[in-house]
Amino acid sequence: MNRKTDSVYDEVLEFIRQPVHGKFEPLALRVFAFQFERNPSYRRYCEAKDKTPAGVGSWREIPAVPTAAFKEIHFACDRPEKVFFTSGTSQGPAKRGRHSVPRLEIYRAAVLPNFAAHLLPDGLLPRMLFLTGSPETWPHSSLAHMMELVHQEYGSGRADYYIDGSGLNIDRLLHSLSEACERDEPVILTGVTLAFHQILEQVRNHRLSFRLPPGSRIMDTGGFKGRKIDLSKIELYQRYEESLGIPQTHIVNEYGMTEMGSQFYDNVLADHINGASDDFVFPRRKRVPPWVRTRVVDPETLDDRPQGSTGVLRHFDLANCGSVSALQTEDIGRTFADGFEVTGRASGSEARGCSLLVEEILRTQ
Amino acid sequence: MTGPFTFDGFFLPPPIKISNFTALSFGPVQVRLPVLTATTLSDVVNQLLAAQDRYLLGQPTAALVEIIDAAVARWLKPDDPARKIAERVLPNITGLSPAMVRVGLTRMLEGYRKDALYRVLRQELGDDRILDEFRPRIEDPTRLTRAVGPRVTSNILAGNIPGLGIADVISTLLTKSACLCKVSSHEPVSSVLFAQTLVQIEPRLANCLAMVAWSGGRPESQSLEEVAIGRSELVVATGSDEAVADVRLAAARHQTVSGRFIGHGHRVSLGLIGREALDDLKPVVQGAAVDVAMYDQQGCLSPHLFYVETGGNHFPRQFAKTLAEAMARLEKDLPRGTVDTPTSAQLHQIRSVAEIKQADGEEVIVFGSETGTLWSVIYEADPTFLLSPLYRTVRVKPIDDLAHVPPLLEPWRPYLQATGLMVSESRRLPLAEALGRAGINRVCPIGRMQEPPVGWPQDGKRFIADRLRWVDLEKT
Repeated sequence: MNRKTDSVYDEVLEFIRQPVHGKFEPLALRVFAFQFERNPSYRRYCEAKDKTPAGVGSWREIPAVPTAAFKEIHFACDRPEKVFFTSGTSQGPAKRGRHSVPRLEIYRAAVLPNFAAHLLPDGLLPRMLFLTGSPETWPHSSLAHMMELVHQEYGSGRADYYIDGSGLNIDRLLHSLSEACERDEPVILTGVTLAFHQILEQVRNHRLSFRLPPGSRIMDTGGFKGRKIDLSKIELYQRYEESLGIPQTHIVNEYGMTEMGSQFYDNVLADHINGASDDFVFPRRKRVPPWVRTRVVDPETLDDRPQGSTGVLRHFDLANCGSVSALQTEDIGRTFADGFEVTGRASGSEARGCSLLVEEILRTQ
Repeated sequence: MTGPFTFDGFFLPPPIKISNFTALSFGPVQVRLPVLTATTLSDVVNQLLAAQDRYLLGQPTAALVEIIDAAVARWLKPDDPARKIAERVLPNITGLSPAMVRVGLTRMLEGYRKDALYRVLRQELGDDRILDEFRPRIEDPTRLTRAVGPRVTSNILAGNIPGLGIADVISTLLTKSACLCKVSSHEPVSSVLFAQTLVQIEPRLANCLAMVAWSGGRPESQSLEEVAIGRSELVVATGSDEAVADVRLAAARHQTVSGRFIGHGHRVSLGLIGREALDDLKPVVQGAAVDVAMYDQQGCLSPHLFYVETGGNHFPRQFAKTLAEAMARLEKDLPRGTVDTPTSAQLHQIRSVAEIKQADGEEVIVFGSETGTLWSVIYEADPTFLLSPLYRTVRVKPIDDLAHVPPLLEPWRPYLQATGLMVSESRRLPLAEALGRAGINRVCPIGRMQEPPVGWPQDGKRFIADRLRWVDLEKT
């Protein structure tokens, strides 16, 4: 890495650690210039769109790369310290999205304070139970890496991962939950929604019910991603509450993606602890960290949609400085004054009649 | 075509009275649907059974053909009241443009005239009176044979293409079966209106037809499903794989052992263009553009991509460019309809991924509508068969020999439907053989993919014959 590279990374790192009002825009433009120079695939795309650093005056004009392009093209500004892959598809590893991270330090800086602000706003450090694979089981997963970082920083003892090569170990998890109840020791359960759903089913089938100790909380992520599970978010959270005894104020949904170094969390727990709102409300808002900008655009015109109207989510993430910062997602949502809501995913849209489901298309492309 | 409008998305035998309704909203169009109980639906089935026995069974096939032909003839007149209602409400309900609805209905209905119906009866049954009486069997003089249709057929209709349900009503009536349809919430219009037209022509049909609705797969619908499916000798389900699988399960549970089930699930189609067809690009490209644009590519006969052979007078990429020009022209006469945000997001995503690959020097060229996602033609050298996100998005892939295509289709074998094929006479048969072995059910010229003749083997099945039971009379 040369000095120039280091200086962009250092500036981003500094901003994430200590955001300065008014500095986002110039830094975003600097990051764009850097990515344009270091990333030939991205540069050619920007040139084809007639957008170069010389001609771009606002972060909003920086060409966004569709997240699906990470399956086709290796966006990297430097030799990566780590490459994360999206989960597998029927076409094998060649068609998995990959995200190169040249400096894991930046990744870590983006993960930790954001996690703490939304999952640990009360300063309590509950025992951590991870409904994910460990970094050894899931070596390419950004989620597993993230959980490891969180555990190193806020956990204690050996990390408990409940997914291994043979799947989710429900019995072991139920045992851990009983143990937590007996010891009156609050826990934080973090993991993918599908794993939570399996547990809820198991708890229901065995007519179990846990009252996890006060202070216990949940972070779920991923949703049902096109699986045939007919359960709304509201119903899902009610079931978390009924089966595990965790109030809805303590159920925080994380929204993140392999292609992105930063994550977003529901504001519910932070607001509850900070006394911002007593009433639990839907829709929950996702908070945007200071080093990220999120927009909702009309997918036909690519113009910004007004606050409250639905469109496609676009993010500009400084933590992605080593790859591409401007991302066009497949996620549908709307913005509010204090954050945004994810309402769906392009892949979840229903195809009609005898043509294949869109999600099936996405699974195979 | 604006202003609020309420449409009754059901048709019930006149003795059945309903007082409880629900409504679906499609912009200014409200569709009123009856809320049925299992008892009411059972009464409906009783009406159907009685009318089938009293009226339908006694009608000669020729009389039924006349009624159907007369109904189709009415619908082909632009000022027919039923047709006008269909044209008014279907754009709001399906999202298709008014022009698309108009053209689509006409093309579809033109296929169901008298001559075509007789052709399919003779072709599938060998004898167009075999549903009327015992007929001699040419190959075996010691036996007579006749065909008997189901007493009641339950048709679970799909909503991907307007008017599709009309075909099910027609084939059901041709088998002299009473027709119970569960209409789709995506298109609760055309089968209902067509039933009304039929009854205007022949009032005695009123008790032979019922078009109702309930949401499939929901617990509260199970008792309705049990009645409809359990009391039908034949169940025909069209829709997504998931929906068809659900009905199949219900049929296995509720039908008697002699009950029958026909399922039509997800299907995909494609086009093949030989190098010799590229001499005169214009007609083949025009045909290809229509094949893609019709019904905004929502049909199982809509091509997902075109394989174009290299070595001709034009390159496959020139085909792609010319196809793009044709798509742009079609947008004026036959505009694409509206799409929802997630679909639009996905179309945009697919197109911009291709643009990145193109910018990155890969053998990819993207042609697309100047604004929005109205149409996209993506030329891509990689020969892998990929599904399109549809709504007028099509890939063009070069191939050095069309004979190399069938092996590329292997992963999609269970889903294959039609291939548009444009090659010289001498190559057509061997390619059709190979495509048929690969899983394709219909090979037709490019430009005619969306005009299948009545009785084309949808999903490899027959239009009338597969719905029948056979009875033999052996001579003493």
